[in-house]
Amino acid sequence: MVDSLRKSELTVNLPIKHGDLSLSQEVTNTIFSIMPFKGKHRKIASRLKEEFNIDLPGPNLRTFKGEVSIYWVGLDQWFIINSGDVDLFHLISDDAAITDQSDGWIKMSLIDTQNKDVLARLCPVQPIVETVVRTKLAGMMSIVFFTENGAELFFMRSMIESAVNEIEIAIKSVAAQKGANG
Amino acid sequence: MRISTVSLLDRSNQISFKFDGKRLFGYAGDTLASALLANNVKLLGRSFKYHRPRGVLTAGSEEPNALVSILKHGQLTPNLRATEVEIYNNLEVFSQNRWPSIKFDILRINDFLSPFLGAGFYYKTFMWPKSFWEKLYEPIIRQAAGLGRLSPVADNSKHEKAFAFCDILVIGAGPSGIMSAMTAALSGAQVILVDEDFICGGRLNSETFKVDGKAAFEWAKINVSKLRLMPNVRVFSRTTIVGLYDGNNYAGIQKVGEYLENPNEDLPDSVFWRIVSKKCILCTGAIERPIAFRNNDRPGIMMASAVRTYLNRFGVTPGKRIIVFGNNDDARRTVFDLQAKGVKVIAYVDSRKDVEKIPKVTSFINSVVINTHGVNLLSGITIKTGDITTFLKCDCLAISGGWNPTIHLTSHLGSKPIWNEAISCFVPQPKAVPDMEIAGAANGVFSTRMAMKSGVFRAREVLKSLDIKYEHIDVPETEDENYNCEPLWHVKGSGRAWLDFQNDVTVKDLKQSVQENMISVEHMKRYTTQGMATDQGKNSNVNSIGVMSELTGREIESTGTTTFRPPFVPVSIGAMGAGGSGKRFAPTRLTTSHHFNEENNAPSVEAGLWYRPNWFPKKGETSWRQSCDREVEMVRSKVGVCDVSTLGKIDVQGPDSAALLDFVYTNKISSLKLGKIRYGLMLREDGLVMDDGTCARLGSNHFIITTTTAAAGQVMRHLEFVLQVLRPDIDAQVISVTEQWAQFSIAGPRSRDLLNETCNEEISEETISFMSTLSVSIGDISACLFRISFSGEHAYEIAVPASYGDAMIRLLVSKAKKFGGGPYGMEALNVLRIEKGFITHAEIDGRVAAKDIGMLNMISPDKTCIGKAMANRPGLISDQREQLVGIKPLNEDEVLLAGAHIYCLDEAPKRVNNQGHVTSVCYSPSLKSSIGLALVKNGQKRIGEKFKMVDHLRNSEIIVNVTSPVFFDKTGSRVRG
Repeated sequence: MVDSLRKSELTVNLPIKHGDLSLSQEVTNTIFSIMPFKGKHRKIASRLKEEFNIDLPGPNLRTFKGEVSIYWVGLDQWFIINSGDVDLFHLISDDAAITDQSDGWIKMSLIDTQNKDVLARLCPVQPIVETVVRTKLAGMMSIVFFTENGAELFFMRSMIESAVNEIEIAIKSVAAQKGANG
Repeated sequence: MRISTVSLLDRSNQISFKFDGKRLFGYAGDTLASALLANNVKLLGRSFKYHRPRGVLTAGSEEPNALVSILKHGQLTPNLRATEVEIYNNLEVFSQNRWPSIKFDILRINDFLSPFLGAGFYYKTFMWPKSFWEKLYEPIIRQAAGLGRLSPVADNSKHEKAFAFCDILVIGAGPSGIMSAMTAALSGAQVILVDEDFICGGRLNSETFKVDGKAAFEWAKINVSKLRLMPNVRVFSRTTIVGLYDGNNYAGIQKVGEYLENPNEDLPDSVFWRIVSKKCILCTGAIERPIAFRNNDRPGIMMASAVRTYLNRFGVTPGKRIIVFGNNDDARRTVFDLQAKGVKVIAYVDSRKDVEKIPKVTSFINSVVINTHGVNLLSGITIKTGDITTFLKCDCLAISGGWNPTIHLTSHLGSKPIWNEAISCFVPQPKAVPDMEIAGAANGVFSTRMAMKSGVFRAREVLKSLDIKYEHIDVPETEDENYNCEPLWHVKGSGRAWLDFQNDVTVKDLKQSVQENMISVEHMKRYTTQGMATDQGKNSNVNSIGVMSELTGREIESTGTTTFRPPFVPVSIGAMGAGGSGKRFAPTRLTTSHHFNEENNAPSVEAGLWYRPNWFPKKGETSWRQSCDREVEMVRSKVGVCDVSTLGKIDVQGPDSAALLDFVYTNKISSLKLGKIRYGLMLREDGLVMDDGTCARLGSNHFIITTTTAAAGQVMRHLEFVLQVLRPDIDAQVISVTEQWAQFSIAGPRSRDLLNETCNEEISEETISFMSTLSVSIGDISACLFRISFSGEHAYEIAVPASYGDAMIRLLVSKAKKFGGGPYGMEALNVLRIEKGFITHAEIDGRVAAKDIGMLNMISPDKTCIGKAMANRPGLISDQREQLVGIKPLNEDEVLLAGAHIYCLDEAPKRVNNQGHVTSVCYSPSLKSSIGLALVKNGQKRIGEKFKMVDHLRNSEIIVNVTSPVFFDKTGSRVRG
């Protein structure tokens, strides 16, 4: 029998930094999807509030408390990040579909210019601070949470090399254009 | 000739460049056109059809004549307008459309053949003999035609795409644009101001009047600087808005690296912007229009406003002896500016009757220019006043036929402009474009003060519509003169008078068009090609409409316009496809075993966006077939490991999850027992096969379904559509878990042994029978084991969390090697499944029905499902449809070809006799023969017959036997063993 399997590290070179612009990985211990069944939204919201003291966010929003955050990621769909040792299946699986997404998604943090020039080269959606969107970023399906300084980006694991490559090209281009314009 | 120190140039920064191999000098801030004129270079190119000598006509993006090619870093870019090119050190420029040189061009002979080369000549000539068209005439015409030449090397330019959002987009940073932007910005709106020039200011950079006591260009500079410093304003210079699209989407092309000598390697040449704006204020100004008269195309003939631009902005006079010819008061400004700079104005010619002469200039009132003279350059003109003609020597003729508002963007969504008789031009229809206001000269408001006032007014309207409180702004004091234009489209007389300079279309061509009854402007346009060159008729459309109205006796209004379409200026294909060249064309999806594959020298094959290993070459193997055959034999006799993570995996949960699956699959899923797996077929709503896969029941309300790699996204979309639209009553949730799990196939007689070495749990027939699932663990990692087979062997698939995928493939392969096995790739996987007659999307290609693939009985009679009713249409169950069969060459040495077609032995291999086609082929090491799957008409009843397989592209024709699609292990005993 096998003693254990080793987790592999990402093969992309992060962080990337050019001047004030940067892209780095944010390690997420767990990501679970929560999709309430019909008529169970309130119940789920109330269970999560009891357990984590966080509200279930409305569309395009995120809520957080300490390490735990909940992102709205689509119609009737939320991701809860870093839920720790809480057994979500035990907590809410009677009333919601729960799936483990921890290995499927990679989270990164982008520090951008004030005008969000790097995001402008990647994201077709208006960057409204403190909102979450499900959109194509550089042609890849992703989840984007816009922050004051840039964005949190979630990409599918299989596309991470392409994603990092595209973001790096955008960062370099913006840095070069800033340099050219003085 | 450079004459003045007062200009917008940086005279401390001299720039050296080459034109047709000759080194010349200019200054930072010069365009190529201004620098060439400063060096007395007036002959810039040859016209399209007649190869007539041509020079600079304008100073802007509407330039039709001064088209050049630029060589930069080995790349030749044709048809760039010299009026827009910013010079940089070592810029290398070439004139176009001439051979061997611009001064002596052999094809000038076309001009002498012009009576035979009029509009539509190719409809009437080059007809005989018929065979000569393809062999002789067309190649010659093709060689001679065109403007500029494509680069002979692959394009290495770099562009990027970007998105921007704002409350108000102001297009044009001239007088009205600056005022609009300032009004909007001071009121707190998010503003983007764009201008195509490298210095914002529009006409303010070219005129000598004052604005609020300052030089016009100075006022523009101060205010644009103020705007740049505002946090709610972005100013994009060198940016042309080229199109308006639905949903307030504006396309803009911004020059970034292309105007620099040695741009930083990370700089793109240009940025292709998509700007989404709640509102827009169009301040694109107006384009001066020429007048058509005999030989009005010689180098040295320029627009009067362009003369002022070169004079005032660039400190260049285009001539030493200049004549001005116009039909409006604006033309007179050119005379005054030239006089003020000490340039000799030989004469002023005005077509209007009741205007005053200009002091100190010989003035010809109620007169027209009827001809020009000169070989490669203008040397003189003939003026007619009544019956009197006067010849005057000159080297520059500045002409002004009036101004046409630049309204193109207003037509991009289908709105047609309307004729304004009072100002003799087309203006946009009011409110025709949603969320757009038009200000200044673009709306026919030509005086500077009124244009500025118009900018403020329109901004106020827009702010009101956005519920933003308007902050008052004063309109500066500046010139406010009348326009007073009397239209003059062309000067009647003999000889050719040019309308469209770029496509060499003359008044004579329009007359011919009318004679041949092409009287609609749409017909005239296509027949004469007026307006169809790269300038899109910016200098000729309105004049042509005016001429057509005269020729047909219609009012201009009823003559109408053709349609302005994007792009407003030429945009390179590279810019439109920005970010899509080379590997960036599509993202790559890598499995968790990708690096293992690379380490083992497995070449990759693209499966959609995924990279999958094709085969794993062993030392000593010299061809892919060797590797593939070995891997097939390895799986059939021992054990093979293959990464199958790319297949879609969708998690289905909920009280109605079984009902959902019964609805989307043809067969019954709700009866599936816990821990069991069932093969499922999915139809589209039209009854054709969408996909196939497996469905595993993990709980009473919990399933995992798999899809093919190719259809993963499609099936996911389909399920969402079912839940949101078709059956919103179903209480179930679906989510992709494809990325969450790394999944590996372990196939072959020793697969169970391998798993017993790997998993903590016992793997046996009792613990996991065929088509069952079992939770297992490897070390302390939980995994899910499925006993399913795509190879026809005793096989499993094991799923672990993706972050353990790399470790898992290495572990499985090392275990497999103990049993004489190893990894296998896509080629071997394909052979294994063809040997068993298993289908992929090569067979279910979107045109195939359930009965075609022998699965009609999978459509359960006990329930409904998507596609069931449509699948039973006579057309989808007819025996004459192409049905899945196997094929094998009669001669085992011969090779089947995928894509080849099937014909009866006694029928010619023509389309009408087509009996079907070959969908998949391979060499089968198990059968020692080429085998394949095919779709053949009524195939299920024709097993045992012989046919011809013909591949017309690869010139192959062989005899084949039609067989059952299951070649190997027909009873299926190996998979259950």
